[in-house]
Amino acid sequence: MPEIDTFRRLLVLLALGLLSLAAMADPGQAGEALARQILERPANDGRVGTMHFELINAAGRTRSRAALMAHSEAGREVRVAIYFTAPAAIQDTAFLSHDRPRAGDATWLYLPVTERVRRLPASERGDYFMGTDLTYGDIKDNFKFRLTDWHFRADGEADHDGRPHPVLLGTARSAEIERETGYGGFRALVDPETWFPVVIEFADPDGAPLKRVTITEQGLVGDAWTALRFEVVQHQTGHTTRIRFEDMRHVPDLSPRVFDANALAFGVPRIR
Amino acid sequence: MSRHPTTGSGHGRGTPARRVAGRRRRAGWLLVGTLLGAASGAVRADVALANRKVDIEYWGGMAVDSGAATLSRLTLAPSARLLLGERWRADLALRAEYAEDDTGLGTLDTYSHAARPIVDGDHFRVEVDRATLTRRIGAGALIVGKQTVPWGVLDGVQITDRFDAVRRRDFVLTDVRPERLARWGVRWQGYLGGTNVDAAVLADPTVSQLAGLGDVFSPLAPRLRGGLPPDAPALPVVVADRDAYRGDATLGLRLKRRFGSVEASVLTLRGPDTDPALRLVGTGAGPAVLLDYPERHLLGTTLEGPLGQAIWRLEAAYVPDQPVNVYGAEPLTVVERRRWLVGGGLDVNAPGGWFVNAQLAVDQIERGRLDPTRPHRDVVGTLRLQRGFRQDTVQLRAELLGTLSDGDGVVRPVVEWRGHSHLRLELGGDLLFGERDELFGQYRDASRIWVRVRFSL
Repeated sequence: MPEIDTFRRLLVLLALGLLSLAAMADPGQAGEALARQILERPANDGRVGTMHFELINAAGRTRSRAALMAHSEAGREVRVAIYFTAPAAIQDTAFLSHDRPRAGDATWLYLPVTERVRRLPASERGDYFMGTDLTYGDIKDNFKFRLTDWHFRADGEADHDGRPHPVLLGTARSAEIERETGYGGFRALVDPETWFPVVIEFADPDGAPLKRVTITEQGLVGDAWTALRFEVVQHQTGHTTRIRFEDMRHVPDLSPRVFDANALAFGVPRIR
Repeated sequence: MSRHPTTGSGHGRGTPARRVAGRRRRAGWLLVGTLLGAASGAVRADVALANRKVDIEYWGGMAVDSGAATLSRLTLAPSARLLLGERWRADLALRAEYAEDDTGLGTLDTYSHAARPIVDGDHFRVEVDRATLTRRIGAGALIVGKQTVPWGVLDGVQITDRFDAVRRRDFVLTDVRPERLARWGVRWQGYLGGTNVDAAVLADPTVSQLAGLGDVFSPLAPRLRGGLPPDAPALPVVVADRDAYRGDATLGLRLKRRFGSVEASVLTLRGPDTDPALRLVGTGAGPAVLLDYPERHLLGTTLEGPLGQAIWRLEAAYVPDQPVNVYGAEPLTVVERRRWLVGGGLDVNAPGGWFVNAQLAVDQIERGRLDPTRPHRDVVGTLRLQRGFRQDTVQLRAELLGTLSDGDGVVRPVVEWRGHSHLRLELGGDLLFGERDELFGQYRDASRIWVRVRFSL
């Protein structure tokens, strides 16, 4: 549909123009406007895909993981289920997270060897998720920046993949936020077409470079853009985590059973 | 007291009882096979191997005191899951074990014949660990076959988690606690309104596996020997018949529901107690100690919810007819008493990346004219600390288990390396302390350090 593409480009140009004007006037306001664009990025009500992890240590040794990932957003409740399928040592291990603004967050883990579903204590957002370089906060926030966490500032544009990308800077609003997230601040290049921060450089609370998140592939799943391939490089430990999604598809009517803690013990669900 | 691997109730090879039990076992397999065939037929060609896995584990250890090798066990555990169309699933897991050590593979006369190993040698066994056929029904499932029913919310502290028989050949010094034994039966899990319903009937009188004669974790404390001291005259031990599949079935029902952020359950079960009451009986060859497993009932409740950043858990159970050994005029007297169990626990992600799990349980037996051979009240505490290092490729764990009422216990430090996708190495110790007549102290000479290598394909 060329008319729609043209229309979308015009909208993007208009948004960029407005952001540039705002940035010239007040970098703080422009930064917050850009953060809002990212925050309000459309999301799927349900999507499912196979998630491939590569965990690479400083010596270059790689450990691999594969899992079925199901993600749903209904209203303000975000639910994520990860059913590990490989390697054999962690087969059938399942992780479930319900992010509920009113009722509070809840997470569960099913370990086949114990044969029981265990509710987990709330993790600090800055705790690392199952040996990856992603924090629980990274997973929950899904490449978005909470307005309550950061002071934002627009910082012009920078080239990435041959295109100009607005630059968003964030500084933690308080020492408490720094402690919770493990981040003191960030610098992000934002894709103006998808509103994904495609490169994020995080600094630790002392301002030292901590890690770089790079989205290397985005795809339209249903009517929402999704990160299909990304990499996290931890500068301080030399670790790298690479994540790739395969067969990611929009499933609007995901069965509640997929996100039912009582059903985790039944193993990887069949989702058509 | 000595323990014999065979019983005085007709369990010898080739006896009529064994032949009948063998026919029952074959009938059980035929039933599962028929259901599997029916399911396969129903789903036609839509059959897929969902996953398969082989775990190979070597666990070896030596006594701290003497340096003698006391543990050397090799386990091969293949398992597979077959998806049979949209709604059916079949799971099969086997366990082959070889041990040439002082810890042993545990008793078999506490198993029903239907649940016994398919290969049974002095040092080598092959068991069906799990064999189930599952039919999804709405948001729930019907499960038929050899399975476990893991209830309760606390870790290893069995308050309401008393449906399953467990392995006690390693006392409680296993990686996963309790180590459950699967039994044959039917289980349905589903929803009625917003209530999760879990109902099970396991028509398999298998009870908890014990350490064998003279093995490292053979009971020594009088509290576990019906009051008999370790130096009492040795008597043969027989196990009550374990082939009353209908009379000794275990039945249970659990209802679970969420109230806000708290999940609550109530449950009831009845079946043979999985731990023995000891009786003195006469046999053709003279007196013997009978390990008896009378029926008992249990009513229980569990609660689980968040408290700030922590998760708390509470359990309570009431057993109105607990069989218990008492010091009577005759040795090995058994009476029924009321029993109450209460426990609580807390999981916290502590600063510095440490995970902390602390639990406390009280086990109270009703007082009566005769004193029980166990204390009226046991207070048990557990504390577990755990932390991952180097992208979780190295994990440190430490556990302290003990009876606070007696002051005995065990410290279990472990370091695990999991830097390879298929290989895990563990180095650990089980350091027991206390007096010889206490629950943990009875095994104080069995303190050991051990290494475990696991390879999963």
